[in-house]
Amino acid sequence: MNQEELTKMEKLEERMLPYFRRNDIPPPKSEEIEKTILQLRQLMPMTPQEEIPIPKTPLNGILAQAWLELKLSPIYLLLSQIAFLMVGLGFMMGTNHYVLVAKYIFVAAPLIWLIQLWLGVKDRSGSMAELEMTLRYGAEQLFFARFLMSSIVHTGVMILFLSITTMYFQIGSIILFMLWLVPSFVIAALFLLLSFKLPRTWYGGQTLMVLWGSFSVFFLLGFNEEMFIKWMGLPTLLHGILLVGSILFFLMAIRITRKELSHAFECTVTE
Amino acid sequence: MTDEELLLEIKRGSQAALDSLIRRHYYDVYAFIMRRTHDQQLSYDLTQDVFAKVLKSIYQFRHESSVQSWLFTIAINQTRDFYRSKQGKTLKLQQEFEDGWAGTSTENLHYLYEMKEASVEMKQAISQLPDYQAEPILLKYYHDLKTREIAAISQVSENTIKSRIYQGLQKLERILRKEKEHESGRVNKNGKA
Repeated sequence: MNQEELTKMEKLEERMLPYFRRNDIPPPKSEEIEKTILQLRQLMPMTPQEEIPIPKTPLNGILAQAWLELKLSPIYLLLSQIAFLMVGLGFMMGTNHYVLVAKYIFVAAPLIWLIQLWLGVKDRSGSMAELEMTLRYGAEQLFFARFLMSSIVHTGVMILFLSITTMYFQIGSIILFMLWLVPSFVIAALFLLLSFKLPRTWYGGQTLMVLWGSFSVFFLLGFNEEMFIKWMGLPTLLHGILLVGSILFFLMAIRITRKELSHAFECTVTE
Repeated sequence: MTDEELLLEIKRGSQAALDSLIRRHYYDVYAFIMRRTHDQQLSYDLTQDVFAKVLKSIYQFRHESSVQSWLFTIAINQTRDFYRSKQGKTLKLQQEFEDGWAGTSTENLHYLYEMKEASVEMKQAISQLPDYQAEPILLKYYHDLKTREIAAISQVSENTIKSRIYQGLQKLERILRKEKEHESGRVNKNGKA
């Protein structure tokens, strides 16, 4: 429309507006609105026909959930950490032997972390993770909130214990950190991989704990004790390479776990 | 809560959100249909059908337009579908007959006075417009929709909508003027008599 036509239209609108104002429709009866609402409630879809994207939980949401998990978590979590710390300190004071404390870290630290991981995924056997999926957080978010919470608590306890050990024996702490981290990452990765690859009825957590306990006792107390001493004496660079390798292995296990968690949910739904 | 948020809640199964959406838009949809059909009970039924269609096609709504525009689109289609049906055709014929009968039997002054009511004039005038002119006029002047929104609902360009509104208004003015002249002519005739 050109400018001339627009001006004509504006004038025409002005002339017509009084007519339009007179043609008001009275409001509908409230009982008719209620009737419509009642009728349509019966047509409400019972289940969504399309997957509604779950908004990503921000980091503070995960942290808040982790804090809640800590408050609600079973007593094993805190007890195991306190027990680890107390036994370690008693062992250190009692034996006054640096290598023995190193052995204790090597054996006990991964076991303590395994307990946390096991608590994190054990609900899966009772389909609890899938049930939780229908609530505010997804199974994956819940698992990682638990994982984050237990890792933070465990790391805090370990740093405290290693700092005390370092100060007590007046030695460098790098080797002690390696003795803690490398086996812990490897055991945790193995646990994650096995717990989702093997049948749900398999008691992965307990079995792996027993296996690790047996292996480490055999490794440390058997004829291979020298090997442990040699490992402790490796150059820092080699320790670093081992640590990076174990972290990569652990990250790979986490990636597979995430896929498996969503797959487990889909399977439950289909069943 | 915005309309979009209400739709999301309805998808999640919230009945309260459905109630809110219906209450918020009921009058607009009902008034639009009422202006097209001039039949109260039919307008209630069609309004209910519009909201039922909203529920049915809620997963197809891509949020490319506002929820209000989407509702009017459904209302327009619902009304057109009704008039294409056998029941709708019968009703249209009946309404035309009643209008015609009303126009020829207004010999007495009392009824003529009633007919002078502007809303009746307007109602009759709009019903003489074709759909493609009446609908944009109703949406623009009674529901305050912008030309852009009407163009999106009608799936034509804004310029086309402007032209349709302009031509529709011209036609409306001619009809109203004609009716006025007709009425004043009859009043004079009766007065002389």
